[in-house]
Amino acid sequence: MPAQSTQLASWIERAWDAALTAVSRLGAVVMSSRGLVILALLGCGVLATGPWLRPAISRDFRAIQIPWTDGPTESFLPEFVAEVPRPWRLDSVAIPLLVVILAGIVIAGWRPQWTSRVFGILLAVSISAVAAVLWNHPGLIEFFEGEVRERGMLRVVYRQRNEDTLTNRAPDRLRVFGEKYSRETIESPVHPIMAPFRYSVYGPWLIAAAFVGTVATRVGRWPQRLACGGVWVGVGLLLAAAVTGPRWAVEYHWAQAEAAENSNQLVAAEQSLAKALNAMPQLADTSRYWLTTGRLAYRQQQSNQYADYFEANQYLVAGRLSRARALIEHSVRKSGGVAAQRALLAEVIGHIATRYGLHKKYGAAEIAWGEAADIAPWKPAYWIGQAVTVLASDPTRAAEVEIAILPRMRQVGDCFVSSDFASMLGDAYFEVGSFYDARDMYSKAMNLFHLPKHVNLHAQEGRLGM
Amino acid sequence: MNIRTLIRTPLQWVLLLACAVALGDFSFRVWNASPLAEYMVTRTVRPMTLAENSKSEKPKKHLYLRRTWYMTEVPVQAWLEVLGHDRLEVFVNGRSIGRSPMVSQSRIAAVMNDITPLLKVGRNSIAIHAPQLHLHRPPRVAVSGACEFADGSVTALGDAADWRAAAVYDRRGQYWFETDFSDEHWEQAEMADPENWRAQVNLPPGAITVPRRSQWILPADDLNGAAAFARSFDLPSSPRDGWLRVLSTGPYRVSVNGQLMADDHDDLAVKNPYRSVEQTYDISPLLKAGSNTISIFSATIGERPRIRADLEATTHNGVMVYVPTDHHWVSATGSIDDWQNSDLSTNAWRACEPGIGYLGAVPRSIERELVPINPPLGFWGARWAKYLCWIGLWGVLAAAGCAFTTRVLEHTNAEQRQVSDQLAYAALVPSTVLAFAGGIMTWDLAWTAHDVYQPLWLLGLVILVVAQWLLLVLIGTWKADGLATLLRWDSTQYHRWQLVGIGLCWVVVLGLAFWLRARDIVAQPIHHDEVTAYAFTLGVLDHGFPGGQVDPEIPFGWCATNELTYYFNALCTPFFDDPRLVVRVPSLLFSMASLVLIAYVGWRWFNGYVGFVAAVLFALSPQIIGMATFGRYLSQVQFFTLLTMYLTFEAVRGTGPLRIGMMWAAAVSFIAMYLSWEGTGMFGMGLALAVLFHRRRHLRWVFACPQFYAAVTVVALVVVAQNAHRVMQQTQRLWYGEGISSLTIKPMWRYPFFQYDYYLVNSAWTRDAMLPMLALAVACALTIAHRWRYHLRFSLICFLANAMFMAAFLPVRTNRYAYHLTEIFILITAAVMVAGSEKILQIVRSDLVLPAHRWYLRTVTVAATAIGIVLSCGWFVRTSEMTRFANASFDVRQLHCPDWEGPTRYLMNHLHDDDIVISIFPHSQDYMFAVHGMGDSMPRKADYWLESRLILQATLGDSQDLPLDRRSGAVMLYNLDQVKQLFAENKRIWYCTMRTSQSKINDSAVSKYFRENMDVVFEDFGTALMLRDANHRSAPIQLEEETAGWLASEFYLK
Repeated sequence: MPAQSTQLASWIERAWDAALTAVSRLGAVVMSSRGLVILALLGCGVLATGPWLRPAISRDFRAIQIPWTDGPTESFLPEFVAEVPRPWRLDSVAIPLLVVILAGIVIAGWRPQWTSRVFGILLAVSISAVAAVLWNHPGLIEFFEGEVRERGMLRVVYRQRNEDTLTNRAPDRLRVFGEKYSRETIESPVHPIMAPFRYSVYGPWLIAAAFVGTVATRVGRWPQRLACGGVWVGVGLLLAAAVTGPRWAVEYHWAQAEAAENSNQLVAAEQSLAKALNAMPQLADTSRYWLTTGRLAYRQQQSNQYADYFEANQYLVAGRLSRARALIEHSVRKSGGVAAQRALLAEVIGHIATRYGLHKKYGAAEIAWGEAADIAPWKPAYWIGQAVTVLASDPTRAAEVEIAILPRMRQVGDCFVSSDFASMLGDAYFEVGSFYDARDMYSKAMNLFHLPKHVNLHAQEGRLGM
Repeated sequence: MNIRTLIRTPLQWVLLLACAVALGDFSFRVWNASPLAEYMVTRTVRPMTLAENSKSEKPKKHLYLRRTWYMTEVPVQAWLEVLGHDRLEVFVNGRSIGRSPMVSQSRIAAVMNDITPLLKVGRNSIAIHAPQLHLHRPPRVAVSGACEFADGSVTALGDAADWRAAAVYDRRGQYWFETDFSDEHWEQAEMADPENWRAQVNLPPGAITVPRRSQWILPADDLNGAAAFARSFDLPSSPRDGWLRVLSTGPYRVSVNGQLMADDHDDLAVKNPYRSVEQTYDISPLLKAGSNTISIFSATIGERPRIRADLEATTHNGVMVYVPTDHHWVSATGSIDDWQNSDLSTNAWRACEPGIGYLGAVPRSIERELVPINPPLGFWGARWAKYLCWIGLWGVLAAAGCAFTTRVLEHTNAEQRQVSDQLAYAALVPSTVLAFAGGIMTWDLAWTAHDVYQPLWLLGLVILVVAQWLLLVLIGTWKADGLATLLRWDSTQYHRWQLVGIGLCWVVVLGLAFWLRARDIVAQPIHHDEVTAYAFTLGVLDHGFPGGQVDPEIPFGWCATNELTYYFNALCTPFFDDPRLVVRVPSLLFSMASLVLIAYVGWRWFNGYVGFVAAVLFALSPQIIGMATFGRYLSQVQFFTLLTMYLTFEAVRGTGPLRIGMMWAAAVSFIAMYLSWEGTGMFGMGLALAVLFHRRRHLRWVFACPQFYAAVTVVALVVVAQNAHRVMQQTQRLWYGEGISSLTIKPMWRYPFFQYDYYLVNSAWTRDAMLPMLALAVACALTIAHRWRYHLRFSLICFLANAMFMAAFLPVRTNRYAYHLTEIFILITAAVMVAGSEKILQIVRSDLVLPAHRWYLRTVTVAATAIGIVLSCGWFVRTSEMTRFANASFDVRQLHCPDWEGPTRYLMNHLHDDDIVISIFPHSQDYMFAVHGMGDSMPRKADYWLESRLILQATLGDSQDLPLDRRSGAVMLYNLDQVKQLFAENKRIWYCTMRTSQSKINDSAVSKYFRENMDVVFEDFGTALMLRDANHRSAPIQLEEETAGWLASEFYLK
């Protein structure tokens, strides 16, 4: 027995020793320089595939879904790409980043002295990728700007139903994201080159992470480290300039056009604008191009669809909706219109629908929302507005709305809007006496958003039967 | 640039670059006005205040002022300027014209506006509200303004004899800010002693106050309704500021000196010629010395365009130039293409035709807009180029100066050649730091760019550098032994004086810290959370564990959070009777203990200077002073957090076996920290990460230590036991709703309001976290290769991991949750400051340096560190305009406890037996009743708790199915119907409320009902007492109130 117990003790001691060694080595490996580098690269991988652009209502755009530029055949325009699910693309900005990261993981284990270069390459590629995302898709950025305004419409629509809705109480997800922007900032006009930064999410984080990695893994004194980081930033800026070259050409010609316009040289301005369009043909569908061309036409007292578009937009801003609708509608009805025209008409009709709702003309509001949704089906705000109006005017249609709309709510990235929509459905079921369905909807709303101090009051009180 | 030289002597280049940027930026701003409109209003005023009834009575916390007067005609121009503290809300004829931000101590708020369109024939009114937000600073207001009439007569608006004052948000049918409100029962406003006040406004004051002396002008001809108007004028010297007002019948563009600054893109097609909007521009950055040209292009389809404009420019010498539109202006008709840069002497430009009269735009109907200028990219490009040129110029000058000084030093003292090339660069440090400080100061409401960026100050900065170079040369030249002997003291004597000096410094710091904390310990009233803390403290005395029963309807409950805090409070009960002292003295003592601990840790981990700088920052921090007099767990948890971090590092220090004693001490400290506030559990994760990283190559010693497992087990058992206790207490009975007590961790990055740096910014020791964040970034860089890297890494991992974990997983964000990290942040910042100073002092490591040069460098580094402390301590500079890094920390002597004392006294004096009392904080109200001996045998209690939004959980009573307040047992009023029923069944109802926080737990319908059916009878800081008595209003009056009520809701019971 003593021999056996000694053997057992020895065995336990050896097992314990082995376990200790294994745990210590595992910890040492994870916390070693190589381990930390690999962890950092994996973190960069998460950032590289994460959301890079955040609209006010629709779901986030991930880097893996955004191409470097519009291809010759396939256009990355909001009317085609706003809806989810969005495919992962081989021509996306994330692919080269992931390649660098995967190669970097191998290199970090094999040749750790090259790690700084791996991070440097990642830094350069991420700078150019972020630049491409921000500046190579002007149509997409205009779509985001439209969603900010449409989110305002939804706030009004929800407030008509209940003042305690999240959409009404909480500012939208752009304004609260890191509290970067106040309402004034997000709604104030800004140069189109700066506008994309409002919607940028994790792309710049990747740049910062790669820069830190480059500087931290470069062996040497601080000037050498910073010089190394600076060189890779320079390479990144050159790459970015190459990738976004057409956009800078556009901005140059556009600035020329504006200078000529301000000097009353309107023909020269039109010529500069044509050069801008040549540099980036997809601008032809953007509101910016239509507004500038329309303004030039208006100054020359020409009557064409561009001038109508410009005037309609100004009347919309001034709140004269009927005039705005009259100016733009015939162009769209006649030819179908381009995306910019359709978006403007839908926005005008959306505002008209909001006004109907304020005056409790729910029937007219429902029709108007429906029209807007038909004209710009890629914009979720309009069909949500229509559905909420239907629920307000006729709660017995709750089941119909649930079947038709609830599956489409996955298009919506703003959890306040989604949660409130479920609450509205709950209200409608409650009113018609379907308490089980109502409770189900309130629970769904609370699952979407409910936090201490940010209580989903309406859904909570609804579920409690208050 | 020689890269090898750069690598060998990076310090010189860093100093040179920093100096070039700081002085270049300063110089650029001296001669190039900022595009941001910031102006200072300076006046000697006799501010208005409330008449004090008796010396014993506390000064009122709210000042309401009204002035009413009659006018038989409307003025052609009227403006109003209101200065005061600590915040201003200004109404003219019932409409809000401005609301200032809260200003810190010794700052003055200002509201300034053109009020012409708001005035009318008949009775007019101005109403102002100023609340007190800081200790010992009762609200005061000074008003100036004028109404100028067509006949040239002027009515002044600021005469104190015309103003009446009150201390409550009064309403007699009309709200107090409405024109028809009867203020006859208000007192005459009292005038205080004269004071010099300076306040910042965001528009050029002259644009509001200077009368419109311009005329409408029309072009000489009409061609397609378009014309350009222009005028040249001279400025005798460089401009300081300038403004332009433009009124036009059509859309227009404005160009100043060929730079387009306003275009017509926004209203080209929809400009309403019948709506007169005068747009005001701050054109300061566009003006230049000498000849200036202003051009305005306007187009009005179908008629001749016409404009009316006024321009005023002021030079640095104080010369003012006023340019109105009149016959001196010239015009060119049609869409000419060079209207911005044209030669005005050509035939294309002809004299304008001045119009007579108002031409349809009467002054009273003119609206005014302040519009930011929008120059083209070329303007900004030129500005940047100029900026870079200034930086380059100063870089060259500083490099040349340093090179010259070095050459002279080498010539005078050859022995010192190796180090003399670095000495000259040290002379750049004070001016660089001061120029940087000047830039920071412009973010403070106390100074504008005009105050800071003056040629005289720039000259001072330059002289400071040159004087130091001369001093260095002088010292180097003067080889007389006298100076050396003078500065080379006898070492014994030197050390004796050094010890005395160090001792004195510590006595001053400790004494100052204690005085700053102790002087206001009872200045603030008891907070409702302190009421709960005191109740739990009594529970310790009664039951040995914090807990108690608040109402017979609610069962006895044990405290399930901050358990350890109440034992320290209980230790104070034998010494103090005042509940405030019972709960606050332990906080104060823990704060002082933390001060000693941070100094010790700074000394042990870094050096004595770090300990001292950390102690000074800790002693002066307004946030820490505020929390030290707040009777909750915060100071205690802060102490134990730092202690835990220190002991843990000491336990794992080195590469060999763990230090067992330290490890067990760390475990005990962790338990104390956790039981002080269980939210610090996340600190444990950061701590574990820091230990793993620190010991990453020697982990076996950690895992092979049996006592390590024992200590971890003990800690884990305490955590599990506390959590089990909490869950059991919270599930003892049914709770309605969800509140902070039901908090669980969630992946917050999936939520819209995720803010990764929230707890980093909020762990700063002042409200302005820009400098602390800068220090944090430098600290991260120091972790790479600095000799303090091990301690810095450990501190930073603990700090950053905890802050990031909280941001990533805590669904609740509150400033105080980061308070336990503040002292770690201070320690890190102190290390950064001292490391920076040491870098400069490394120059004197060489034995070849003269003692006098050694003393010079020490003086430079001490001065730079002192400026850093002054800038970042939160007392002297408040960068309140820099909102990106603003947090919710306490300001200097900021009021932060709602004051129920005054409302309760008023209530006691007027309460009838059958009156109903509703409260927003019933437990706090019950405490106040008990303190003031309300009730005969049983203390009076609040009857109802108003919470129509289910934010805080309610519970059910034992004997009745009514939702109750868990903290007091008061019956919950949860909807408007209940409130209406209560009002129908009872005659006199009191409501103890808070004017802004009320809306957090009540919906607008309930708030509106209270606002319309009750009157405010007493107000104090953050609190108000409302009464429904015989004040029923007829239906017509209620209808009239509807409109004003919406405006009132912005400010009261929102």
